[in-house]
Amino acid sequence: MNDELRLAGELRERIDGLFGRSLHIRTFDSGSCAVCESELRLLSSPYYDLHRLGLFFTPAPRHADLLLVTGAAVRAADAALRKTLEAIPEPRLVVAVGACALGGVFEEDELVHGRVDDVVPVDVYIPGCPPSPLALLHGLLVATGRLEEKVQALSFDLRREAVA
Amino acid sequence: MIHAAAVLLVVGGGLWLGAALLGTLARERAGLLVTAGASALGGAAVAAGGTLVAVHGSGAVHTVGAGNLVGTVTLRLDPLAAVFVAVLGLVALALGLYVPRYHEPGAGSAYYLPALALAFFASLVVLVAGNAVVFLVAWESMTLFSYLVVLRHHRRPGVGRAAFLFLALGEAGFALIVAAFAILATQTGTLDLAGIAARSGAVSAGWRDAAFVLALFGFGFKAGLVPLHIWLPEAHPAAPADGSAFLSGLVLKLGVFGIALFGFELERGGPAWWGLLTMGLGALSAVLGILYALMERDLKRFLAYSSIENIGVILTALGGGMVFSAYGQRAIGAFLLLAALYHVVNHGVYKTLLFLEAGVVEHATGTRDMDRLGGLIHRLPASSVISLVGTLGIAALPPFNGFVSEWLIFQGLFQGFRIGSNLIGILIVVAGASLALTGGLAIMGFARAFGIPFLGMPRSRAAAEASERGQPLAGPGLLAAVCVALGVGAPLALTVLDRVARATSGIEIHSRLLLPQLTVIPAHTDFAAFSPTYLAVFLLCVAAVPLLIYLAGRPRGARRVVPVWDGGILDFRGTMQYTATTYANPTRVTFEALYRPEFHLERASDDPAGRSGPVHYRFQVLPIFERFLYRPVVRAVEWLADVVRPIQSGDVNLYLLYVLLVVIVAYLIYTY
Repeated sequence: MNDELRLAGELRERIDGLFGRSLHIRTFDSGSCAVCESELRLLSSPYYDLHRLGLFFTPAPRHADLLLVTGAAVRAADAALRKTLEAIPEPRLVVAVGACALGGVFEEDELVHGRVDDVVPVDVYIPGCPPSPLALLHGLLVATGRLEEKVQALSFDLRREAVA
Repeated sequence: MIHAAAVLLVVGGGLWLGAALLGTLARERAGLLVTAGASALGGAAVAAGGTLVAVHGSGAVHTVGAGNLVGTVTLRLDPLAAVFVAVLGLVALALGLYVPRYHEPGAGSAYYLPALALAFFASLVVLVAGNAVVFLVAWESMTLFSYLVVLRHHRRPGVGRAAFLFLALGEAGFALIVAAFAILATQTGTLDLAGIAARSGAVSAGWRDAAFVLALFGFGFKAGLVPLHIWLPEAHPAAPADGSAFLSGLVLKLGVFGIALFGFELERGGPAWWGLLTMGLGALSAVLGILYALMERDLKRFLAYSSIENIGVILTALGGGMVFSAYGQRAIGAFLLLAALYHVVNHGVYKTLLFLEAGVVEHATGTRDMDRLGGLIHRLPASSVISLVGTLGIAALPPFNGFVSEWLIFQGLFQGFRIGSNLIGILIVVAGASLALTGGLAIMGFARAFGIPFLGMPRSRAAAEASERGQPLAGPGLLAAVCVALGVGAPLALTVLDRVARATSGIEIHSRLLLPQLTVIPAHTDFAAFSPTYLAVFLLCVAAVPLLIYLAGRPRGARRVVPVWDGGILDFRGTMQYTATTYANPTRVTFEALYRPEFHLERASDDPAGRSGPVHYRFQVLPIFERFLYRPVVRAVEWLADVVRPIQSGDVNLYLLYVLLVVIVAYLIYTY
């Protein structure tokens, strides 16, 4: 429990600093068995209470900062996955959630890629079948760290583009 | 001033007669241009003349050919009619500017343009007629020339039937109008309109009632009063765009003019129930008009139903004014007359504009079906802006003209509590509430009629490939400017209309209507007040704030342009968008009891996997009036025609015998 509170405190601070109190998550199911989703849903329960950390789920990719992908990346969802990522403004992050998304369950064949990395570039991996809510929180914490790097990199890019 | 007005009207009328002659040359491009030019110039002259008479605020009478074979021909300039004359001139001017780019030179135009010019001329004569015979002859000519206007594309399916419906109902109305004039003429012993007005007070109540009711229904056929409205949604789509614009912009208003002529001039000071009847039918027309409009996908049918609604609004105000006058609240009566006239002018402007734009859309895409349009704002940018101005005007949103007149009408009707009788007061407020419902539905309807065709993505290839090149912009553009002017410049327009209301009702309300600070108040200073001019300035300032915030907060530096978010669908198409039918579906469900829609669903197979091939879904609103009111009448007439058929043998000698018998019978009746 202490562990969790410490995690939560750190996460809260990072989100406050980076995003002005909120980070919005868009989830994408690329062929999951829905167990990852049920764990994700637990994050909104009073016990984990995602919102107190400034994390929110949003259906609109335009409002999102983070794309959270579950499932083994079935090929039928390719276009939708790429379009969703494209619709999220920079700086953005992709988090692959669960063993299927990481590439440990399905082999690549004509129906699935077997891993999300083959479709969109993944920044953070959260293993587990399914990952526990605490693992998910930990992953999100790591992701905000990566996002920090991305923000710095992006502002450099912007400067370069403005000169060019 | 009145002489200048008379000269302008004569010049304008002459130009239209000239246009009718020149129109026969419209087989060539040059002939078409000259005709349109003459027609537009005539319109400008007539609009100026009408405005001058209204500004002058009093009339003049001119008699020509007294005592000749056809009787006395009296023409008069009257402030009430002058408002309609000004609308006629403006409509003709806009149509004249529109015609050269809308019509192709050819035999069709060479017959159509003269008919249109003569319809203008006949309408002008209706409005300046000083005598019942002149009025009736001009009225009938106006109907016939309008019939020819509707028949422009007579080879297309359905056009002949629509034009016939227009003519048949027009003639039915004409019979009632003749009867109304005949009653007044025989009871007062004069055909002169001024004479009738002067002496009608002495006519017995029964004859006065009969004449008014006949006139209300007779003119109601032309105005499109429910249940006499069924020709509108048929004739408007059948006519060319400028013809529909003329029908809605002016011909309907002539019906309103006739009712106002009887209620406020010829039979001044009628009992309260005349007003209640007019107001009730008006409120019914307004609500039913807009409800049926919402079920239409055809742009022009939609606009035609919306015309029924607007005529309903005008007649509610006129009727309300008559009720207030009958109960001694003559200032509010005059105020409502003024508000109704303001709405007449406004509707004449924006409905003409919208019909002309419907014509542009039809020419650019080949369809008027909203569900096949979409995204036209990218293809027809200028026309979209013009349409938007007209749409905001007719949806009664400030600072455009429709808002001013509807606000005035509401303020007038909400004075119902000043009437001593509770029942009458409540009835007036109920009429006001119906108009409130109408106003809300009208905003929905016009959000749909603009949003579905102009915004979003194209729903058909034709809409995607539409082009504004060669489309008429000047005529509708002029009307859009007038829409703004009549909204922002409402104090000026009210000053002019006040003179008309004063000349017609004899009540001075100007000092109670306008404050020096450009603020309008409805007849009683303690109720409500607003300033259309300042409101426009305020709205511009308010609009500037978010614009400035947007400009200031716009990110500088690199920007990434990505496609519109479509939910991740593989191939997002225009046909997947919300349609006009779905947009109106909540209304259809809510008012199911009225619409009683009939559904038709056809699919190629019942494959549960959904691979059933094309599915055809359509629904039709139950045409209540056509089926339960008109069909029995038509059946009865057909039955009667069957019964009397035996006397028609086709033998000319027998017909001569009939003529002889009739002459003998007439002689016998005459002698005994």
